[in-house]
Amino acid sequence: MEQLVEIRGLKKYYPVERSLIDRLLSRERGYVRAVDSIDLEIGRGETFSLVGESGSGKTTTGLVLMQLTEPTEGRILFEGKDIFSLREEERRRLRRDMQMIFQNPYASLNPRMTVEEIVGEPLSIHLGLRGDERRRVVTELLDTVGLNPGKYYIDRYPHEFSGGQRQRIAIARAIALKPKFIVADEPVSSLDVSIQATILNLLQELKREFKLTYLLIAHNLAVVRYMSDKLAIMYLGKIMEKGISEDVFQNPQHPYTKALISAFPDINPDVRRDRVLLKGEIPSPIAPPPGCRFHTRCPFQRDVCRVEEPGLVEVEEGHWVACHLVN
Amino acid sequence: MEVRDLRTYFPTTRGTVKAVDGISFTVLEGETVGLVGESGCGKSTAALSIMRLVPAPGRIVGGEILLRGRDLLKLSEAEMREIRGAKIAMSFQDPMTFFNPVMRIGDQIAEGIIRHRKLSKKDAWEKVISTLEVVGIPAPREVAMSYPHQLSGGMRQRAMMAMALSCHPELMIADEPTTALDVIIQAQLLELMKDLKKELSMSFLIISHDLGVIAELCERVAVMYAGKIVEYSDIRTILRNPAHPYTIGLLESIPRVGYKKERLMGIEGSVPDLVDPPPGCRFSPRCRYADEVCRRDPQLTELREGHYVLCHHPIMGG
Repeated sequence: MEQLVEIRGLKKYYPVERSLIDRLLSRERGYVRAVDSIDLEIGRGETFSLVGESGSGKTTTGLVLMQLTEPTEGRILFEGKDIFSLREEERRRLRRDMQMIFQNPYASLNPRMTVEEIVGEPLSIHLGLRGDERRRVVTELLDTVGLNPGKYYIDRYPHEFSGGQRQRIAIARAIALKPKFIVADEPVSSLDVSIQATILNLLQELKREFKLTYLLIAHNLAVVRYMSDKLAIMYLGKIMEKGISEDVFQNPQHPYTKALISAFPDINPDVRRDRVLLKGEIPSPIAPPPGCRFHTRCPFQRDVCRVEEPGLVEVEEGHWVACHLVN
Repeated sequence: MEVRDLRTYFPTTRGTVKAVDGISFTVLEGETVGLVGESGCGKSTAALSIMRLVPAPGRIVGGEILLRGRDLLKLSEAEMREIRGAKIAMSFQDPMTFFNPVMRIGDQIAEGIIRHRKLSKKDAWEKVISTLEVVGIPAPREVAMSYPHQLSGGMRQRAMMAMALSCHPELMIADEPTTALDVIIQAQLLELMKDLKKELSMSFLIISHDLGVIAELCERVAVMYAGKIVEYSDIRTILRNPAHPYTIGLLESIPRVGYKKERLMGIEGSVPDLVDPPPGCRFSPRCRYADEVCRRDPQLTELREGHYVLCHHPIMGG
């Protein structure tokens, strides 16, 4: 499959503020290693999921992809072109092809703008649409995302809508410029389950209709399994396991992946689960553990895990795992 | 505990919000019961009503809450203070807003112990340490000396559970005990709660929007929608043979981590306005089986033994 997005050796470090004493003693500046050298390929037409707990670096990866923050190191290729070495006008053009849907539709929509202004803004900026023409396109977009009839909703303000409807408005804005690629950062996690399902279905329909490629950032594994073609599991800024979604779910290799899958409460009362229970909590990304970053919580750790960092190894076609036990 | 026809209303400028509108259920000795529903269904208001902590201007306008036959709604505020913490304790979704930020965790937990068990400060602190151990906190002394902001979310949740358990209540109400936490920490807490259920012979009322959490912990469950209990049964029946269209829709909306499904159903529309709820069955505007009859109020009917449904057209063998 043709690759739409390629991420090569991506790093994003955030400097930590030093205290006065640190500066007087000229102690070294610490860094939060939010994303620490990851490689990913997203094929055209795929839904690729980034999975992990808070602090794993999944959202940071999405922000760098959307050029909302500069990477510390590494390259991102979109249709083969390095997006951080483009000239300004090329970058502007590129923004039409890449859009984002955020987690919280209560925060991502401007409360002082009508739906027409919210959804129409990118149309004015990039395509120069005005007046009746813009209104017609916005109405169509609202119909497309299930807010029909669109003309009934177009003059309202965000506060007049429920959470699910607001997320539909955010989606209408994201697809307004017919993008090729959408980053969806936890698009349903702030919604009720009955509404979540309708939004997930909408995203699937839009993907087929507009031949979209998604990067889905999510912590809910059931949502990820429902949506994805491929996925990568992140922990403390590193990829632990990646591959075709069904391969990973049916045959998880990394102890962290197994723990995540078994941690998820299921509604089947007959499942007798043997949980891979992890002790403690995710360590600080300022001073990640040496060797394998997961070793401090891994029930199967060996001596080598404390010293040497495992690289990603292909265990079956397209299924990669970073773990000493698997190699 | 037995809740009978509980009604809690909130007056607003637009009219009265009937947040909890005539719900009845029981929690038996040693049993864990779940209240499940989506945001705005009234499940948290129901919990606060049992504690008699409904925030003003909300008011309990009717019903009975019987704890071993004694109606909590007839007690004076002073008598109720002897119940709270000692007989019924509650944990909340967000421990950061629950704890006093400028008091040590240990002092906050000790406060209740000193009040209810009449222990000295020193003995109370010993009790604090042992309770923190019970909830699986690895360094209980250090945690007791900490302030809330120094702890992680999972630790705060554990500390809050320790506070609820510290006076050996007969019933513990846990409002969204795992919602704000990452899955790994959530699994740790679920396992902890299962252990507590086994070790302590007490009753739990678990409030959650997550049927997965309810399925793991509860023996019986009440499904709430728009201020009413629409279905009430043992957990297996609810998951295997749900009869109310809302329960069915809810189950069909949940993607499962165990297998890949082609399409989720979801429920179109949104929760009704509780100032002016639809006439008759409150779920009818979103229900695919609704007809003329549904404009009349449905009655709670017993389909099979212990399986109650509030619906004109319950789905049999669903």
